[in-house]
Amino acid sequence: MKQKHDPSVLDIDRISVTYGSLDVLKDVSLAAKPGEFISLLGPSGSGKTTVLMSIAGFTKPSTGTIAVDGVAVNGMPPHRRRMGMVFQSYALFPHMSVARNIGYPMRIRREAAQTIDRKVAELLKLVHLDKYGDRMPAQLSGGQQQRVAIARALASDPTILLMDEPLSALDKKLREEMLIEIRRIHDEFGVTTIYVTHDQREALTISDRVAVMSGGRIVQIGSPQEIYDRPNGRFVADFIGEAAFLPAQVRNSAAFMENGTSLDVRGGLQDGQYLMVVRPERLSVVADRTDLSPGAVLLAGRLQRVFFQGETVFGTVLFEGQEVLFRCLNQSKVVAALPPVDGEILLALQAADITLVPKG
Amino acid sequence: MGNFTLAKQDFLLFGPAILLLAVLCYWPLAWVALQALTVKGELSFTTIATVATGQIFWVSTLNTIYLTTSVVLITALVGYPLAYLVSQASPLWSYTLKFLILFPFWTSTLVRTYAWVVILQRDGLLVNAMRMVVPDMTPVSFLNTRAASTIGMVHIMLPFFVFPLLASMESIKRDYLRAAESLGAKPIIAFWTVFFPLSLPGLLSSVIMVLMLSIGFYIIPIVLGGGKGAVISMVIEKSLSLYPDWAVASSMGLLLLLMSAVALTILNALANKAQSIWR
Ligand SMILES: Nc1ncnc2c1ncn2[C@@H]1O[C@H](COP(=O)(O)OP(=O)(O)OP(=O)(O)O)[C@@H](O)[C@H]1O
Ligand SMILES: [Mg+2]
Repeated sequence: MKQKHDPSVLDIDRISVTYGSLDVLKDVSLAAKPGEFISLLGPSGSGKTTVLMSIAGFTKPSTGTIAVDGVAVNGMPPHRRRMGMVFQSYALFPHMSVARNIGYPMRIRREAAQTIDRKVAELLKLVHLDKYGDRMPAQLSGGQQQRVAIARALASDPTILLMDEPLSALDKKLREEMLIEIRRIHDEFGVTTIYVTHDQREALTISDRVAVMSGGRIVQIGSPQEIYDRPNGRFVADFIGEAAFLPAQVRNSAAFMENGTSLDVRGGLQDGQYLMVVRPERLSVVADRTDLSPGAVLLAGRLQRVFFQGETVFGTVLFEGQEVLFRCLNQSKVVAALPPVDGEILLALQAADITLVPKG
Repeated sequence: MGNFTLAKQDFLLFGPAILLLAVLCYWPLAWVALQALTVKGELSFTTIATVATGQIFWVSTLNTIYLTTSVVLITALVGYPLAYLVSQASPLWSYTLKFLILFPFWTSTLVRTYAWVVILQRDGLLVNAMRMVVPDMTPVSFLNTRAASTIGMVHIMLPFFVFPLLASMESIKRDYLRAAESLGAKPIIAFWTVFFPLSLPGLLSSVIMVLMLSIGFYIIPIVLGGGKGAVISMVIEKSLSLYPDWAVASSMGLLLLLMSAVALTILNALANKAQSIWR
């Protein structure tokens, strides 16, 4: 099989899309391995939908190639690409029942009526809608419509499943349920999936890899942990999770904070200006300046406000003129040790949690 | 529909409309029915029965059905693709095309009808145009034919057909067609399985609009059709000048109304049937 030579189901190679004078995608490359679940994550207007539309064939990149199973599909019309697409609006055909909607791709392929009925029943079961085959889409809740849309996309036996913010129309609780549901369906079906979202929690939760987009480019791609723990720049660190950025610099391969504190950073960094990414949950409150593990950095600041959030406690600290956030578990011992507001607070950042990203 | 209660001030809102309808429609209609169904103040079906069994009535009814059907069919055949084109065009094109379709509306029906006379008459524009191809053609007139009536009416009816249909086509989300294509349907299949069924309600309102307007149309059949294929509106007009009272004309009017109702019912049933195919 040709997959032996090229293990990518999808291989996007430096595609660009322009509308008039607007560069919507610039040199976007992305490869997906069989069965992989990849999220495109980015703010509104960063080009996520355009990537999906290019894969599906509704948008024609001006340069670059898109290959599916090793075959370039640039000139191929959408209906021959075998991309199962789940639209943000679901796009269920309003004049067809749920069963007809799901059976649509199979009817188009003129499969036998019994085969269609059997597969529709299987898919309805897969998305937990066994008894809803005869309903019309308008008679379903948002979450149910969403599942029908997924079932219909799967019914076309797609090479790749494309989903464009499929959960954005749902309320928060349902979103979390559906997220787990989508991953379950993916694992059961094993279909390579490209999932578009602007919600970082969704992307981190569900994906094997996350591609962070900004201004028509993929800024960083990696596993959720990589993206979160080792952002390659301020944009990714800021967009994903919460972070304060403290100025730092590297001179003669040694890293320092602005106040001269030396930073224990492994891996050779080039000399220059950097920002230290300080995530709230990586800071711990310490009682004493001597109470530090080797390589840890101490941030001595003034406690400004404390917010109780249920299972966690969240606080803002003024450190050398900059606001730094910390978050700790709501345990009586920890909370009791917090200084009064306006009092001095000592925060420790462990050596392993020190991350520098280039400034600017 | 859910039940709702009316407050007194609601009547202020739709009162004028009801009043207008009552004065201009219901009251004359009742008067017409009264003329048709009474003889010297007594209820009587003799006039309407005589009219309904008369040859003139049936011939003109058949002519009306023929003309109306051909107008509706041709308008639909021209209008549906046109509306589709406009609905899929880029905003600028869509605006331009709508303007071009509406443009003839700015001149009166009468003026446009006589424009067709200029085109279709002996030595008219059409004949002259044809002479460029066939120089020794004998001069003929295309006026006073059914075809002339049909062409003229299609021309008048086109905007009435296109705009209701367009409104419904524009509400069909583009994602539906994209979804169909991504599921493996060729564009043409996507059109017939998704776009067309979803445009049926709009098509129905357009057909009804054109049907209702055509069924009693007078000016064009008389000016362009001349004496050929007299339609019911012409017979009604004639009977008004022929008989001393309104009884005969009113009877025909009522029968025309009945025919419209039957046509509507059939259309509705057809449309429902067509919709249920896809469920
Ligand atoms: N048909 C089009 N014509 C012109 N510009 C377009 C068109 N489609 C998209 N754009 C522009 O391309 C850019 C990227 O759009 P895209 O829809 O891919 O963003 P997105 O990341 O999906 O955003 P969102 O999260 O809001 O859906 C935007 O600036 C948008 O205005
Ligand atoms: Mg989008």
